[in-house]
Amino acid sequence: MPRLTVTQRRRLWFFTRLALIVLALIITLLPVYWMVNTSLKNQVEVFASPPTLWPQNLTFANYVSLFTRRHLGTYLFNSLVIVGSAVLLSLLMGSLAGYSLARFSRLQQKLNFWVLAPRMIPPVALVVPLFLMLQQIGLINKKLGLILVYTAFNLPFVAWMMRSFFKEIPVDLEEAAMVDGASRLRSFRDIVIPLAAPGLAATAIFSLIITYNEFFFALILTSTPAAATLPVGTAALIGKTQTLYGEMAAAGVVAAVPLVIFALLVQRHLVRGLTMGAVK
Amino acid sequence: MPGPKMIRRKFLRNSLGLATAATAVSLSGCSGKKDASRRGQITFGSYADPALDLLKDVFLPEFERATGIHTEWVEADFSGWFQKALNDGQTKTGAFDIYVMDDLWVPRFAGAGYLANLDELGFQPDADFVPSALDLGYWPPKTGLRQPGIDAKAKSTLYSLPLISDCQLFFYRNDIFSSGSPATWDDVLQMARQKSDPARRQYGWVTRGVKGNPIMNSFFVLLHDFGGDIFGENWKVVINSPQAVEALEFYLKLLQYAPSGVAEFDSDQEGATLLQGNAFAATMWTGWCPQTDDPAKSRVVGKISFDVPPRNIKQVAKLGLFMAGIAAAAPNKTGALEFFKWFSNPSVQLRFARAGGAAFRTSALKDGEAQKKGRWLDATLRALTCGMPSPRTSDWSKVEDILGTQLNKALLEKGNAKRHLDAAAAEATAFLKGAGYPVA
Amino acid sequence: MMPTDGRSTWIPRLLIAPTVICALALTVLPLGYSVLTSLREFPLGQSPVFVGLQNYRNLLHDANFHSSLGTTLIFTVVATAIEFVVGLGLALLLKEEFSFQGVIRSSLIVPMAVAPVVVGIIWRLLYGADVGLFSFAVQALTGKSISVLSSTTLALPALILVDIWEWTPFMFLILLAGIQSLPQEPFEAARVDGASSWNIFLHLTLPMLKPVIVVSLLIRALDAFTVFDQVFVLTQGGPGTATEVATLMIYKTAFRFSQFGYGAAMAIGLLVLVMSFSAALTRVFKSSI
Repeated sequence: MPRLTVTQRRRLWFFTRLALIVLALIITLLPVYWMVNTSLKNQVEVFASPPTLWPQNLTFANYVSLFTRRHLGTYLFNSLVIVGSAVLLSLLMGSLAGYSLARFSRLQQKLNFWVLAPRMIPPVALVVPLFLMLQQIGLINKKLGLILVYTAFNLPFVAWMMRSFFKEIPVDLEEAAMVDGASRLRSFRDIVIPLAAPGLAATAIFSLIITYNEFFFALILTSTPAAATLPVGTAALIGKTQTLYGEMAAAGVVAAVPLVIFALLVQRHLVRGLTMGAVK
Repeated sequence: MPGPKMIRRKFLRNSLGLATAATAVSLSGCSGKKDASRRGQITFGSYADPALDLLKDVFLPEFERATGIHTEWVEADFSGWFQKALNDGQTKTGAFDIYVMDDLWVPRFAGAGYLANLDELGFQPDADFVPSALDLGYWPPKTGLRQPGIDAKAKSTLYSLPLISDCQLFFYRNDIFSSGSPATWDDVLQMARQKSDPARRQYGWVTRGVKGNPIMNSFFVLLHDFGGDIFGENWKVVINSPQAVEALEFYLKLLQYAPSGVAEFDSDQEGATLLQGNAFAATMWTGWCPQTDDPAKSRVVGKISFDVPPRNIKQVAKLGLFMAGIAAAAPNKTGALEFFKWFSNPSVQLRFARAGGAAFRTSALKDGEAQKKGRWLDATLRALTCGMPSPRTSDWSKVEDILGTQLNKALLEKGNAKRHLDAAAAEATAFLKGAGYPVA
Repeated sequence: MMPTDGRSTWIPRLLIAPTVICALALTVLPLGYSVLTSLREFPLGQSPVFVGLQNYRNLLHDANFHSSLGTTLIFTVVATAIEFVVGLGLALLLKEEFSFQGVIRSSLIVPMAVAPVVVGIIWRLLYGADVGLFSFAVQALTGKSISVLSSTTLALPALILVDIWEWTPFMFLILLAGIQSLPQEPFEAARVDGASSWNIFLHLTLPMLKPVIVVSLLIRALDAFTVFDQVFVLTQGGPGTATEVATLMIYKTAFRFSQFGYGAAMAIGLLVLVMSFSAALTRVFKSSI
């Protein structure tokens, strides 16, 4: 085969890249489309065979029912407040902890296990002691109770993830800045954070999603719509003898919207750090 | 793109603001609304199910107007609610006044002391309650075997009342079974042979095949109709008796006319197949009855009729009632009792039946006007009369899982009924022995 | 790099302290409680009975539990491996600037954002024999009608596919962030020296990414070991025991059968498996951290 010219090769790569991206998008979004599709159907059409690609009798009844009969508005509000606060707190404290771990890393080997261990143990093992503890301080079925629990869970994870991102940044950069007279804090703020912005963005997105979709603790540590979150409300559509597929799909759509908006806003930080040249 | 300083400053400002706002909001929710002012309120905890819609939407508001007691209805998914209720009972939290339960849960909850003694609280049932429905609320069970650890001579106490008389009815297409409900199971098989057409998605039979509870509930009626049973004398496991094997073989024959994916069907798929007009018959819970005539849910409006399941040697139906009990640690027991008295009042039950609800008073279910509106109420009453519940022991879930797994395997292999039932019996016996049952 | 002056050792310790306390509390507490529970049994209506190691002895003979551990292991390894490869591929594809990158990247993250229970429901619909788009597509392409979820051979792969769909975005996200955080000079130098893209990838990108790779693999593997929602909604462990993962067994044992002690022992058993796996994985990558 004749060697391709540079332009031809570049064009081939461009089109291959484009095709792969389109393929990835199709595979990713097809079930999501099906979720939206299902949410606009009534029950008889959800189970139609053959399945319909677009509702023949488009209806918003599922969405209406969710907000009028199933308290989804309240659950949505609770989720946003609880999860937003918890993730914010854990990002702030966790990044600082992660930085300390990356730079002053004496105990890091042992810490690996302790940070990951909470994820290894099924939540059922923790829920009763946590329930009793929160009951003692009167935080059962209160938003603050869940905020504390979620912060505690996210903290080790954020610290651990940020540590690995901080570790990617060579120490020489900070040392160079400090030689030039900047304090450690300043070099952290002006050099490290911007370079670690992609990592922070990724951690924020992931932490938010995991906490937002957390079900078990929300189920047991809350009892009424006063503090219960979206996952609890969504799961309640699974009945004893029947699951309301249309409403569940609608609940899935409503729940995903804030996350997608957040991802859209934050993902612009997923770009290469630009200040390398500035330091030089 | 703004420089790093700008980003950081903005980020900090926004986060500080958000955190403050969030703390303020959550602290504002911290006012002690929980405790003393519960006198005028009762809290229901329940799983979600369309069968409860009528109660929630119409009758609870009526109760509030009639008695002035405010009601709060908290719902979770079926297994989620079970865990929450167990937790509430175990920790004696008292977040709920009334537990809505599956009748299967009564041994567990009553036996562990999570329910209030209704006899002591002064509730008086009468003979108009459908006996089989009322019996499910007693612990230890009035009739039948008592599990080890329960005093064989202890008096049966009333711990819970029926709420919705849910049972399995035989749903059939009246345009296909044009001469009325099939009298025997052989008739069902016959019709399936004659008229099934899988290529055009016309199936003679559909059921739940998922292992465990779904398939066990589905097989239960046939098992008993053929003269088999699960437990014999003294808890001996007889699931592999010749009658049981015959029942399973017949069940597998019927399933040849079911959709190919039936091994993973649960109630949703079963109901969908029938309501799409793709199946001739199925045994389903009464919660599905009103849906057959709703054009938003069914393509066979008016074409489904209801009856007690056909007979073979015997004729039984399966009971799966929704029960209600007062939590042992309920903050408002008097209010909860008020609700029980109000809801079981003959006139309220009559109105409930006339609105299409599965009442638990015989008089309500027999009422002519109610039966006209709800074509299934007559069948419901007859099913309740010849109905049988799952075995009354807190260990039933594990045995059901063992049996259900083997049944599912038999379904997948489309045969080997005896082998799987023998395996099921052996495993169940081993488990029961380990749990202290007097099995050989 | 170690702090050279004495006074600055306590600030980092102060910063790390809350994290350590939370990590310890969330580990020691449930572990302790689980171990305690696993040493007892809970007969109905009576107070718990201390039974020592009886539950563990039963566990050693429980073939069902062993096979569920095996199923879980297969699920975890296959799912994580494929998610890693595909996620890395996507990250490499999308690391350069291009038009609509914001929308495309956010779209690729969506599967992760949908509530797990809804993912299960939608895929159940897609996989359904008569009602599912997936089944119809397969029928149109190959002419055979299959019911994936009721096939003992296809059910586990079907579940793995759902997991891949849902969690590849996680790998993509982390690896993309990792790649974007790498300093530029080594790459520029290598290109100046005339190294090929493949060599740059193999000898420069991958090694420098190691900390992030380990983190992503460990977290994903841990989550895959404890998969529950999808299996519960899609197959309930069936058909037969084809998709009976350990978490499902633990859930049924502890909650449906109310055997809290035995369930706790199972949870400890799973924990042992998970810990061994993580230790092995970390050791393989040890040199990098």
